[in-house]
Amino acid sequence: MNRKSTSGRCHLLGSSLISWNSKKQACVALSTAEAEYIAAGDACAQSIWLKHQLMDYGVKLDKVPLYCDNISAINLTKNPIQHSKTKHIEIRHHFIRDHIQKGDIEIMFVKIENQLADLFTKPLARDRFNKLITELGIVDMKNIC
Amino acid sequence: MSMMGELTYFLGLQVKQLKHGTFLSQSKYYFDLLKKFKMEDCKEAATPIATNCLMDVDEAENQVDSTKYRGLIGSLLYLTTSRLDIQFGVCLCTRFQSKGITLQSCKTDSQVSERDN
Repeated sequence: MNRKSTSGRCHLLGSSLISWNSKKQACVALSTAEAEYIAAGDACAQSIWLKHQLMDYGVKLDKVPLYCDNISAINLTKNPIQHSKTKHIEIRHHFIRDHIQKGDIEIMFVKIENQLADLFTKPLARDRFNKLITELGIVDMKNIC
Repeated sequence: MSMMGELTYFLGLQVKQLKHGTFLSQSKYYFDLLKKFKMEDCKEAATPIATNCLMDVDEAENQVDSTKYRGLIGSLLYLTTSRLDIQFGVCLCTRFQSKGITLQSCKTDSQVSERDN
Protein backbone atom coordinates (compact mmCIF):
# COMPACT_ATOMS: atom_id res chain seq x y z
CA MET A 1 0.00 0.00 0.00
CA ASN A 2 1.47 3.32 -0.93
CA ARG A 3 -1.68 5.42 -0.49
CA LYS A 4 -1.90 6.55 -4.05
CA SER A 5 -5.28 6.81 -5.71
CA THR A 6 -6.37 5.37 -9.01
CA SER A 7 -7.63 7.69 -11.73
CA GLY A 8 -10.30 6.34 -14.01
CA ARG A 9 -11.93 8.07 -16.92
CA CYS A 10 -13.93 7.37 -20.03
CA HIS A 11 -14.78 9.57 -22.99
CA LEU A 12 -17.95 9.18 -24.97
CA LEU A 13 -18.68 10.57 -28.40
CA GLY A 14 -22.42 10.51 -28.73
CA SER A 15 -23.22 7.22 -27.08
CA SER A 16 -20.07 5.42 -28.17
CA LEU A 17 -17.14 4.96 -25.91
CA ILE A 18 -13.99 6.14 -27.63
CA SER A 19 -11.32 6.37 -24.98
CA TRP A 20 -10.80 5.09 -21.45
CA ASN A 21 -8.07 4.84 -18.89
CA SER A 22 -7.31 3.39 -15.48
CA LYS A 23 -4.07 4.44 -13.90
CA LYS A 24 -2.51 4.80 -10.51
CA GLN A 25 -1.75 8.43 -9.81
CA ALA A 26 1.84 9.57 -9.66
CA CYS A 27 1.57 11.41 -6.37
CA VAL A 28 -0.16 10.98 -3.05
CA ALA A 29 -3.29 13.09 -2.68
CA LEU A 30 -4.16 14.51 0.72
CA SER A 31 -7.92 14.31 0.19
CA THR A 32 -10.41 12.59 -2.09
CA ALA A 33 -11.19 15.98 -3.58
CA GLU A 34 -7.55 16.40 -4.49
CA ALA A 35 -7.41 12.93 -6.05
CA GLU A 36 -10.52 13.71 -8.09
CA TYR A 37 -9.06 17.05 -9.07
CA ILE A 38 -5.93 15.37 -10.42
CA ALA A 39 -8.09 12.83 -12.28
CA ALA A 40 -10.23 15.64 -13.71
CA GLY A 41 -7.05 17.34 -14.93
CA ASP A 42 -6.01 14.16 -16.76
CA ALA A 43 -9.45 13.78 -18.28
CA CYS A 44 -9.35 17.41 -19.36
CA ALA A 45 -6.06 16.92 -21.20
CA GLN A 46 -7.43 13.89 -23.03
CA SER A 47 -10.68 15.71 -23.91
CA ILE A 48 -8.74 18.56 -25.43
CA TRP A 49 -6.67 16.15 -27.48
CA LEU A 50 -9.82 14.40 -28.69
CA LYS A 51 -11.35 17.75 -29.49
CA HIS A 52 -8.38 18.65 -31.68
CA GLN A 53 -8.48 15.24 -33.35
CA LEU A 54 -12.16 15.67 -34.15
CA MET A 55 -11.48 19.11 -35.57
CA ASP A 56 -9.22 17.42 -38.14
CA TYR A 57 -12.22 15.33 -39.17
CA GLY A 58 -14.39 18.43 -39.45
CA VAL A 59 -16.32 17.96 -36.22
CA LYS A 60 -16.35 21.14 -34.18
CA LEU A 61 -17.13 20.78 -30.51
CA ASP A 62 -17.87 23.78 -28.39
CA LYS A 63 -17.76 23.11 -24.66
CA VAL A 64 -16.90 19.56 -23.77
CA PRO A 65 -18.85 18.49 -20.70
CA LEU A 66 -16.79 16.71 -18.06
CA TYR A 67 -18.63 14.81 -15.35
CA CYS A 68 -17.01 14.58 -11.97
CA ASP A 69 -18.55 12.96 -8.90
CA ASN A 70 -16.96 15.19 -6.28
CA ILE A 71 -18.35 18.65 -5.58
CA SER A 72 -15.25 19.85 -3.77
CA ALA A 73 -13.12 18.97 -6.78
CA ILE A 74 -15.54 20.85 -9.04
CA ASN A 75 -15.34 23.89 -6.81
CA LEU A 76 -11.55 23.72 -6.85
CA THR A 77 -11.60 23.98 -10.64
CA LYS A 78 -13.89 27.00 -10.57
CA ASN A 79 -12.01 28.98 -7.98
CA PRO A 80 -8.79 30.42 -9.35
CA ILE A 81 -7.80 31.97 -6.04
CA GLN A 82 -4.94 30.63 -3.97
CA HIS A 83 -6.29 28.99 -0.86
CA SER A 84 -4.47 27.61 2.15
CA LYS A 85 -6.09 24.19 1.62
CA THR A 86 -4.89 23.97 -1.96
CA LYS A 87 -1.55 25.74 -1.86
CA HIS A 88 0.40 22.47 -1.94
CA ILE A 89 -1.20 21.21 -5.16
CA GLU A 90 1.32 21.16 -7.95
CA ILE A 91 0.94 23.72 -10.71
CA ARG A 92 0.55 21.11 -13.44
CA HIS A 93 -2.72 19.98 -11.89
CA HIS A 94 -4.16 23.47 -12.22
CA PHE A 95 -4.16 22.97 -15.99
CA ILE A 96 -7.90 22.26 -15.87
CA ARG A 97 -8.74 25.63 -14.27
CA ASP A 98 -7.32 27.49 -17.20
CA HIS A 99 -9.30 25.46 -19.72
CA ILE A 100 -12.50 25.89 -17.78
CA GLN A 101 -12.02 29.65 -17.74
CA LYS A 102 -11.31 29.63 -21.45
CA GLY A 103 -14.48 27.65 -22.03
CA ASP A 104 -12.92 24.56 -23.64
CA ILE A 105 -14.32 22.31 -20.95
CA GLU A 106 -17.38 22.55 -18.77
CA ILE A 107 -17.33 20.63 -15.52
CA MET A 108 -20.52 19.16 -14.15
CA PHE A 109 -21.56 17.08 -11.20
CA VAL A 110 -22.76 13.52 -11.57
CA LYS A 111 -23.97 11.29 -8.79
CA ILE A 112 -21.77 8.36 -7.95
CA GLU A 113 -24.55 5.95 -9.04
CA ASN A 114 -24.39 7.40 -12.52
CA GLN A 115 -20.63 7.67 -12.72
CA LEU A 116 -19.57 5.47 -15.65
CA ALA A 117 -15.87 5.75 -14.88
CA ASP A 118 -16.34 3.97 -11.56
CA LEU A 119 -15.57 0.76 -13.40
CA PHE A 120 -11.99 1.88 -13.87
CA THR A 121 -11.26 2.86 -10.30
CA LYS A 122 -12.46 0.05 -8.07
CA PRO A 123 -13.67 -3.52 -8.08
CA LEU A 124 -17.45 -3.54 -8.29
CA ALA A 125 -20.19 -5.93 -7.28
CA ARG A 126 -21.90 -7.92 -10.00
CA ASP A 127 -25.10 -5.86 -10.41
CA ARG A 128 -23.37 -2.55 -10.69
CA PHE A 129 -20.63 -4.02 -12.87
CA ASN A 130 -23.17 -5.41 -15.33
CA LYS A 131 -25.11 -2.16 -15.37
CA LEU A 132 -21.97 -0.13 -16.13
CA ILE A 133 -20.63 -2.39 -18.87
CA THR A 134 -24.01 -2.29 -20.63
CA GLU A 135 -24.04 1.48 -20.42
CA LEU A 136 -20.51 1.63 -21.78
CA GLY A 137 -21.64 -0.40 -24.77
CA ILE A 138 -20.35 -3.90 -24.13
CA VAL A 139 -22.84 -6.45 -25.38
CA ASP A 140 -22.82 -10.19 -25.49
CA MET A 141 -21.86 -11.39 -28.96
CA LYS A 142 -24.67 -13.94 -28.83
CA ASN A 143 -27.25 -11.16 -28.59
CA ILE A 144 -26.28 -9.35 -31.76
CA CYS A 145 -25.89 -12.15 -34.29
CA MET B 1 -4.86 3.00 -51.18
CA SER B 2 -6.77 0.10 -52.58
CA MET B 3 -10.30 -0.88 -51.64
CA MET B 4 -10.26 -4.34 -50.14
CA GLY B 5 -13.88 -4.65 -49.18
CA GLU B 6 -15.57 -4.37 -45.83
CA LEU B 7 -13.30 -4.40 -42.80
CA THR B 8 -13.74 -7.61 -40.83
CA TYR B 9 -10.44 -8.32 -39.12
CA PHE B 10 -7.69 -5.93 -38.11
CA LEU B 11 -4.79 -6.50 -35.68
CA GLY B 12 -6.67 -9.21 -33.85
CA LEU B 13 -9.83 -7.12 -33.61
CA GLN B 14 -12.83 -8.66 -35.27
CA VAL B 15 -15.15 -6.07 -36.75
CA LYS B 16 -18.79 -6.76 -37.33
CA GLN B 17 -20.71 -4.12 -39.23
CA LEU B 18 -24.44 -4.40 -38.82
CA LYS B 19 -27.35 -2.11 -39.55
CA HIS B 20 -27.68 -0.91 -35.98
CA GLY B 21 -24.00 -0.37 -35.32
CA THR B 22 -20.44 -1.57 -35.61
CA PHE B 23 -19.18 -4.10 -33.10
CA LEU B 24 -15.62 -4.92 -32.17
CA SER B 25 -14.64 -8.15 -30.52
CA GLN B 26 -11.56 -10.20 -29.81
CA SER B 27 -13.11 -13.61 -29.29
CA LYS B 28 -10.58 -15.37 -31.52
CA TYR B 29 -7.76 -13.69 -29.64
CA TYR B 30 -8.93 -14.72 -26.21
CA PHE B 31 -9.76 -18.26 -27.21
CA ASP B 32 -6.19 -18.51 -28.46
CA LEU B 33 -5.06 -16.97 -25.20
CA LEU B 34 -6.90 -19.53 -23.10
CA LYS B 35 -5.37 -22.27 -25.20
CA LYS B 36 -1.89 -20.80 -24.88
CA PHE B 37 -2.09 -20.67 -21.10
CA LYS B 38 -3.90 -24.02 -20.92
CA MET B 39 -6.99 -22.62 -19.27
CA GLU B 40 -9.69 -23.78 -21.69
CA ASP B 41 -11.63 -25.59 -19.02
CA CYS B 42 -11.38 -23.00 -16.26
CA LYS B 43 -14.44 -21.78 -14.41
CA GLU B 44 -16.24 -18.65 -15.60
CA ALA B 45 -16.53 -15.65 -13.31
CA ALA B 46 -19.21 -12.98 -13.39
CA THR B 47 -16.95 -10.05 -12.56
CA PRO B 48 -13.22 -9.75 -13.24
CA ILE B 49 -12.20 -8.97 -9.69
CA ALA B 50 -13.64 -9.54 -6.22
CA THR B 51 -14.79 -6.46 -4.30
CA ASN B 52 -13.12 -7.54 -1.09
CA CYS B 53 -9.88 -8.54 -2.74
CA LEU B 54 -6.80 -6.94 -1.26
CA MET B 55 -3.73 -7.75 -3.27
CA ASP B 56 -0.27 -7.62 -1.87
CA VAL B 57 3.22 -8.70 -2.77
CA ASP B 58 3.64 -12.38 -2.16
CA GLU B 59 6.31 -12.57 0.53
CA ALA B 60 5.99 -16.32 0.97
CA GLU B 61 8.04 -18.84 -0.91
CA ASN B 62 5.41 -19.42 -3.61
CA GLN B 63 7.57 -18.45 -6.56
CA VAL B 64 5.65 -17.42 -9.63
CA ASP B 65 6.95 -18.15 -13.09
CA SER B 66 7.62 -14.51 -13.89
CA THR B 67 8.03 -15.04 -17.63
CA LYS B 68 4.63 -16.69 -17.78
CA TYR B 69 3.12 -14.04 -15.52
CA ARG B 70 4.42 -11.19 -17.66
CA GLY B 71 3.30 -12.95 -20.80
CA LEU B 72 -0.15 -13.30 -19.32
CA ILE B 73 -0.26 -9.65 -18.29
CA GLY B 74 0.94 -8.49 -21.71
CA SER B 75 -1.67 -10.56 -23.48
CA LEU B 76 -4.41 -9.35 -21.16
CA LEU B 77 -3.36 -5.75 -21.70
CA TYR B 78 -3.88 -6.22 -25.42
CA LEU B 79 -7.27 -7.69 -24.65
CA THR B 80 -8.29 -4.45 -22.93
CA THR B 81 -8.51 -2.78 -26.36
CA SER B 82 -11.96 -4.27 -26.62
CA ARG B 83 -12.61 -5.51 -23.09
CA LEU B 84 -12.52 -2.37 -21.02
CA ASP B 85 -14.32 -4.15 -18.19
CA ILE B 86 -11.15 -6.04 -17.26
CA GLN B 87 -8.99 -2.92 -17.45
CA PHE B 88 -9.00 -2.23 -13.74
CA GLY B 89 -8.21 -5.81 -12.76
CA VAL B 90 -5.44 -6.19 -15.32
CA CYS B 91 -3.86 -2.87 -14.38
CA LEU B 92 -3.94 -3.94 -10.74
CA CYS B 93 -2.08 -7.15 -11.61
CA THR B 94 0.52 -5.31 -13.66
CA ARG B 95 1.67 -3.48 -10.54
CA PHE B 96 3.06 -6.70 -9.14
CA GLN B 97 5.22 -7.67 -12.07
CA SER B 98 8.57 -7.35 -10.36
CA LYS B 99 7.74 -9.43 -7.27
CA GLY B 100 4.76 -11.51 -8.29
CA ILE B 101 1.57 -12.12 -6.41
CA THR B 102 -0.21 -15.37 -5.81
CA LEU B 103 -1.52 -16.17 -9.26
CA GLN B 104 -4.92 -16.88 -7.80
CA SER B 105 -6.10 -13.31 -8.07
CA CYS B 106 -5.07 -12.74 -11.65
CA LYS B 107 -6.58 -16.00 -12.87
CA THR B 108 -10.02 -14.46 -12.56
CA ASP B 109 -9.22 -12.01 -15.33
CA SER B 110 -8.66 -14.66 -17.91
CA GLN B 111 -11.67 -16.54 -16.70
CA VAL B 112 -13.85 -13.60 -17.47
CA SER B 113 -12.36 -13.29 -20.90
CA GLU B 114 -13.85 -16.65 -21.67
CA ARG B 115 -17.27 -15.03 -21.68
CA ASP B 116 -18.17 -13.62 -25.07
CA ASN B 117 -18.39 -9.87 -25.44
